[in-house]
Amino acid sequence: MSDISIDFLGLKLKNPVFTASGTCGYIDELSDYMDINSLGGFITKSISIKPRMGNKLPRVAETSCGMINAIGLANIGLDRFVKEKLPIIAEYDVPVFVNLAGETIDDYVRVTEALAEYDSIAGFELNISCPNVKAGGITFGTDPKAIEKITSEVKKATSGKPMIVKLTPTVTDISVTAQAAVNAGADALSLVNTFTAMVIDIETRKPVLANRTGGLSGPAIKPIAVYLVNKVYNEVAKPAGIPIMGLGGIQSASDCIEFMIAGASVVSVGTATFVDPNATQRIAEDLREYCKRKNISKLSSLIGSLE
Amino acid sequence: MCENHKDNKGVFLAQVRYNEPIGDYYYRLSLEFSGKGAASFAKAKPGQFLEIKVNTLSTPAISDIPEHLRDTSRRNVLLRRPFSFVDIQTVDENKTVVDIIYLVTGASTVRMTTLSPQDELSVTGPLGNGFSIDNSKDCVILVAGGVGVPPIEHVANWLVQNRKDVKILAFIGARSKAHLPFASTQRADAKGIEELESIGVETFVTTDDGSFGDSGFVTDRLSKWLSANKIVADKTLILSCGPEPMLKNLSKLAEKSNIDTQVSLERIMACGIGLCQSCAVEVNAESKGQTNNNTETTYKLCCKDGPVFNSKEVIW
Repeated sequence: MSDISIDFLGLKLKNPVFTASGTCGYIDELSDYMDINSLGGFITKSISIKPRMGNKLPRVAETSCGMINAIGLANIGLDRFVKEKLPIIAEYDVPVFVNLAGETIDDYVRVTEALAEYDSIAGFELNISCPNVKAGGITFGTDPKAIEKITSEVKKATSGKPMIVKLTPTVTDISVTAQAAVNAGADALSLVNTFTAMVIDIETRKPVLANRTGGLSGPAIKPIAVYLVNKVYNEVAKPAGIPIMGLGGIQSASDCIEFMIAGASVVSVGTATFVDPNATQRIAEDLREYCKRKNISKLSSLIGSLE
Repeated sequence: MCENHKDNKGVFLAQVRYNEPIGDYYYRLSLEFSGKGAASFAKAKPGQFLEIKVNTLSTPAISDIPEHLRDTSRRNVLLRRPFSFVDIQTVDENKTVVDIIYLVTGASTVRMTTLSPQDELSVTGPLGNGFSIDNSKDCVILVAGGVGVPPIEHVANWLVQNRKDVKILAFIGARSKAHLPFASTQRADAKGIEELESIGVETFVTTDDGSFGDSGFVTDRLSKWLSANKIVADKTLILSCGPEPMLKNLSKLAEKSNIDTQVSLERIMACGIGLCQSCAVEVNAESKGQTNNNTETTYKLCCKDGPVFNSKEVIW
């Protein structure tokens, strides 16, 4: 049988498939539909220092082969996450990364410090790429200097736990922002977050979302995401020896394999879970079929194997 | 360790029994579940809902698409679509029949019209929380508008079967006769809503254009009825589903009359299972929603905390 395990940030993962932040709850929301422990890893919804109500409605609109969202990082906040969710997280046998959100660097640092001491947290994903909030989010993620500052400050607060930096594709050259994150101590890069986008109601001539713009996700963005992963792999990650978590429109094992060939060590799956709640588990299971057909003994041998 | 399938929600395959038009605007889709799906849906309550995977369905021939939907039907669909039940019948341990009524209104519901008997569909459910009727009530007033009718027809039947002690009244409204989602009212010689009257529910009908029943809004008809009839407010319960302006008016009326009222709300949902946070409903902060920022209002999720809410907690 093919080996689909992956070595990632010092962890031995069962497979390369993670849930993508904001699409899978805090940990157990999907337990009615799938075996959470079958995942390679789990990334929580963004956690901010204080609870966030999120944006006004409408917050989502479907598009051809995708959707745009402007949820606005609605979450229960650090205190409730620690009290209510961490005990449940501790019951699972899956590496859990907490996605970090904030309006100021200090916000991010305080959430990270508070969570770094818990053994049940494997690491962090620094969200500097949310397009739907007025302060924080993408405002940190488009300026290389700002990326270096926040990455190095938050990295200091992780108590040695690994930190993935999640990048926005809404920049001129993603290799520049990727390099800034790596220079400042990112242990891995995840790309891409959603693309800033708009849907207009032609009856009213108004944007459909209350936030006017939102982030485009789903299969519509996959080929662009694959290209950007390959670019960052060649120009930044491979030379620096840093792994990439690839994401953007993954719906099937074939999509996952495409990202791995492009240079991703692991992937995360978001919008597909909205359509099929057990999508992550199914994708991980289906990876074996490709390995078998292509006579691949170790799935990790595909990483960055683009001819 | 955490157990899977702890409360019997899941993704199940359903087989189409039939999918037939009701007049010009609606279809009734009857689905059969077996195995675990049958067991789960046998326990489902009126007011809960299911989600249908529509992105694998084909588009009808262009001539079969209503003219006003031809252009918008050209786009692809991705996400599941939520529908409340109109009827659930447990046939035996291994067979549950679930019916929904849908309005053909866009790219996904146009695709659903192509479903034929024996087709298989991926269905998520049962989802959300349904209506709750406590034993202190001896009169239930049902209020529904347009495509909000199906869960109200469902709860009417449920009450007739399970709460024989309760008097049931129904106030049903729609834009026009054709927009009433009942087979009986589609007939040219229709006199009333047989689906409700035949089970002993006293029914009042309004249409905006007066093409069936009284002319006007259903909430005005209810208001008139409440002034003409004596009811014991704390023994009465209003259950409702329909367009939000109707529910808002109803909520005001219910508050004035001091009658407990439950409203089933509609929101655009990406996931329907509490993940995406897109179907937020603004409620009073004391009813403790998903987040609490020490503000006066907060958000609950329509899919998980609703779709049925107490009218008093909703910020209209």
